[in-house]
Amino acid sequence: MRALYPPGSDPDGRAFVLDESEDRPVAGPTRRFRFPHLRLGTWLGVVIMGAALAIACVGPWISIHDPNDFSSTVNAAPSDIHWLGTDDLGQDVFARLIVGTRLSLVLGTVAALVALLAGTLAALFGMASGRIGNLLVFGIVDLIRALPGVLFALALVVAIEPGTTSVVLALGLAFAPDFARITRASYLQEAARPYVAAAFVFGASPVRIALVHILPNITGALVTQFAIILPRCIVLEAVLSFLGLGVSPEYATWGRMIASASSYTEEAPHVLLAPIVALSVLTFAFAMIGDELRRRFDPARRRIMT
Amino acid sequence: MTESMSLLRVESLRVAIQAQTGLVEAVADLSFTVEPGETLALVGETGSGKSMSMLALTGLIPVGVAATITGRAMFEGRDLLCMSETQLRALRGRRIGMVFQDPAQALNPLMTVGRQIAEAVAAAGGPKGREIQLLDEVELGAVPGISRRYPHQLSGGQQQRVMIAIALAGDPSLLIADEPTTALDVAVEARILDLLARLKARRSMAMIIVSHDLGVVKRIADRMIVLRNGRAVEVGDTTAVLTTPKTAYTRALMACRPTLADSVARLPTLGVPSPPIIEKRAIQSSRVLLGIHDLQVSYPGVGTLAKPVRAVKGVSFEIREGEALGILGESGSGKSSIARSIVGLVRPSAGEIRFDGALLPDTARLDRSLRRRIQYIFQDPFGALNPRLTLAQLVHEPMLIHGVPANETTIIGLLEEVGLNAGHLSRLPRELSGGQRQRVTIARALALEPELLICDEIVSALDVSVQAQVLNLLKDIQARRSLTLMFISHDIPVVGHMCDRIAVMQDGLIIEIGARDCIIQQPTTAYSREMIALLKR
Amino acid sequence: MMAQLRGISLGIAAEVLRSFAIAVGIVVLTFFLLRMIPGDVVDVIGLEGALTYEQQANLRAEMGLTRSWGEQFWLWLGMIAGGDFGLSSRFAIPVTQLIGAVLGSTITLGLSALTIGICLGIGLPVLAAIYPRSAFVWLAEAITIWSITVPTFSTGIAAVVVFAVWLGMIPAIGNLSAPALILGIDIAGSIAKILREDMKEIESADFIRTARAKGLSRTRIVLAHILPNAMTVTLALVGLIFSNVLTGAITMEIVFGRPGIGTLALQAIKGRDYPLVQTIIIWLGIAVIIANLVADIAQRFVDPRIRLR
Repeated sequence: MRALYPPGSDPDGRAFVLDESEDRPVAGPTRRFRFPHLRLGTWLGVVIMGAALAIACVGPWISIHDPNDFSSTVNAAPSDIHWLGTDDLGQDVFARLIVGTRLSLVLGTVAALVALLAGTLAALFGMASGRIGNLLVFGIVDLIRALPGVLFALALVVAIEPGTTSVVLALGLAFAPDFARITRASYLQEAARPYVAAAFVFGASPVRIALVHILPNITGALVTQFAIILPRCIVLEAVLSFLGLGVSPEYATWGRMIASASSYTEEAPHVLLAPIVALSVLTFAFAMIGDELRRRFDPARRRIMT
Repeated sequence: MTESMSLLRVESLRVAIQAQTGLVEAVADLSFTVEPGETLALVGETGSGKSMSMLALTGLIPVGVAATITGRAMFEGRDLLCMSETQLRALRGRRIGMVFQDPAQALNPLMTVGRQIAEAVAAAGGPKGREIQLLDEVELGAVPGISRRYPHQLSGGQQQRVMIAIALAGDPSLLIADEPTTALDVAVEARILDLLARLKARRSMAMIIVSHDLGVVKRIADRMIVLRNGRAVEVGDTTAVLTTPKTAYTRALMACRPTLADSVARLPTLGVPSPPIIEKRAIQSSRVLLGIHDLQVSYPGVGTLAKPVRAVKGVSFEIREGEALGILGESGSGKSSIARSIVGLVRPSAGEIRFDGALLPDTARLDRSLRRRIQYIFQDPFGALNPRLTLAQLVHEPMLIHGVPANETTIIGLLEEVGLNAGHLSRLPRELSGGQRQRVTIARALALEPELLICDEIVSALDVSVQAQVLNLLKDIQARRSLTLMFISHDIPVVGHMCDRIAVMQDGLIIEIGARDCIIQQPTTAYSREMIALLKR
Repeated sequence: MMAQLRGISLGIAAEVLRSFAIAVGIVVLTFFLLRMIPGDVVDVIGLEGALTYEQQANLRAEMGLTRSWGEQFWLWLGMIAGGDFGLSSRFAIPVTQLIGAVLGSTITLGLSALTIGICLGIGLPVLAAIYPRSAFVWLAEAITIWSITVPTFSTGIAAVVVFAVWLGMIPAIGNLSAPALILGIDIAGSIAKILREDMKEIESADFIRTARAKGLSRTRIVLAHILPNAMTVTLALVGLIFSNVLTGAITMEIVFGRPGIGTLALQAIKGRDYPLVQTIIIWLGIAVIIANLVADIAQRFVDPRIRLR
């Protein structure tokens, strides 16, 4: 559909009209900030994210109990003292949940950042280093993608002594290929556009073309991908924790909570459900936001599936 | 006395659309009639509402668009605007057939052509096997195996004929054709229009043709309506309107287009009367600025084992300082490839390119100083500007790359030279119209004070009135800066208007080259003769 | 015609070659990655029945673990080339036998989940497209959101809780329908998501306007025009879907305690059973590669624009 232009103001019969009145822009002048018009799901996502961030920041202050404190009542039902009850070691579930929020967010962000950096840099390097470099880098990328993510991360964590660093590294490497692929695809797509050719004709160096013209225009795709990968990092960490290979034991991540609670499903189902619900809610929020980002930044492009 | 019932009677049609910039009246108070067997043309530029009115009548407004439609449209006695989707569906394909603009996009890429026509026949309740008759009617019957081909295997003209066959499947009494030939080459366009005329006569079918091209309208329409901003500005018999237009708008629309007999230095535009014409230097130096000798350009074939495609098969010509050479040809003739190889966007597979006497060894790695002297303007005003940079940054960039000192005054100067002003400095490309963007592209090209300016179909994507403005601008700039111009286009009158000499290209070769008047008045090759003749009709 | 066939086959040959290279990569990567894990099978055995240092050393030499990694790799390669994947270092049974025993179970789970996934994942979007004002739209949206939001992992556990604790109906362990259903819905969600988006995009294409102008019914437009075009895009993702099914099946097995490749692999990694782990990972990786290859080839044949130039 072609753009529609607002009607001109001159009635018929006048000989001259203002120049270019027939020829209108596609968008009005960019106001610096316009309150965004979002779908219900997205608003929900934003609200939840906001809440999660708030909890992550002020968490330790609002929970009454210390998450690592052992109380005498084990696997207790929710009560006035312990809002969500206690787990099998007598630790307050609510407190642990709150701490877990911060941990999950931080961990997820760091892991996703590692993936972003590793993937993007690898892709740029691969593209810049001729045919062999290209084949090599993207061969490795495809290789990692061919392995089931869980197993790959598992093997990596075990290989590099289990602990927080190895988990973050493993997650980062497991998701780096996704960033590599999307960097490559977006880069090639932008590079085919006329304005890049124009810069070339002006005599711009390849470095200038990459930095000034192409990279800024692919940040949208990268940000979108980040929003998709971040929750996956959190979930994968939960799986690793569940298998006993998560971060160091003193960190009360949701995965660990799920892991320890799964043996007591009969006596204390709430202990299991709390972190599961939290995980699901957070993933939902990210998914909604990621979807909206994709709608804005990637509208007409073939999705590069992750 | 009984009044003969019009086939279609539209009264006070109004279509309002919720667009990004607010509520827009795409069509405002449009009324017209179509008699059985006559051809009505709706003429207008982009935004005139011509297409939208047709979509509104047939209920084909795109799914996501929120439109409010009021008015009456009596078709064969029933009001189209009051019908439900089911009722409209019964009419579409049976009583009303439609042909759209870009046939390559308008056909399902995964279905054979035969099946798509058969589907239309079946939907209209026709007998099996009728698609063969239809294919004959659109003169495709002789092509072997046509029904088993897929759309991408057909040429543009063949695809459009298939579309017409589909539209005719239900024996409609009204055929609506929305820009049916805009995406086609000139020669093909003529044949399709003739086909439509023949079909109309044979079937006594009424036709509504929507177009922006007055040439098309002249050939095929009995009556015409000129639309502007959703309103009918002039209505009447085609010949009458075109010979003696009654409104200023229609007059301007007709005058905007350069004609073959043109010796006017400046095109009238829908605008403020322009400043006095700057006379071009009459004396041209004989120094050869650009020399091309036996240039050949090939592209790798599509698919793993395909042969390379030879776009340019051995082309030689010269451009002297100060002159404007036009390269004229249809799409696929290789004209763009020549330009691209000169600036290094494509590597020639053979041949020599000399600039100012010096041989250019490898155009992809041109010397900086050489790059300054040759500039290139792209066709696509929407893609040629980095969407994230402001105009100031965009115009500054060439100077930045070459280390030319520049301050705000210089940049404003350039903008003003192309008809923009300081207020545009902080705008982003998407806030500009197509014509304005093209002006920015020109400003960028001028920033380095080039000697040779290559213009590759620079006005083809613009509306007629805007084209005129940009062409005038270009002529002024050329005169003022004594530029040498290489002007590439498929549009003969435009090339005729802008250039001193013309080279005609066909299929990768220059088949004719000479002074403008010679080529246009006395073309020597059959191809050029046919082209020019088509225009004169 | 011959030229076209040659063209396609060359493209396919290139793909096959690439896949082979990746398969080789997997073999190499797995091998060395595993060796990097601290501890080996002898340690594990030693933990169970205290072996003296000398006994451990002897065992290692016997198993060939004292040789250099390079040497071990060549030996391993030689064995695989001959089709022999070795014995499990823990159980001294041919690896292939161990895998074969549980393979059936995993395949059953995977296939059932895939069937549910495809039926729902394609059926719902199609119905939603044909009846845009019906409950199908809501259902399709729901299933899409569900698959994004809730990781199978937690759904699985929650399901175990629900079934075992509250309903007391189905024993959580070993049963097929629960994990298959959960995984199936998840797969359906991811298929539906892609399909719906594609269908929406195609909906605004020019040739759909033509179809509407022909006066075709909504059902016909969706089934004959929108769906085939959307499917060609989805076909490209078959490899990914397959990979997801595989990962999901493994996860489900672990959560539900169902015997299968997943639990086998977990045990093997914990027990440092190199031959077993290597073989499993290699087979899984190759399975994914083959799935991708099949999808790629299918794409070339299905899309006439690629098939006939």
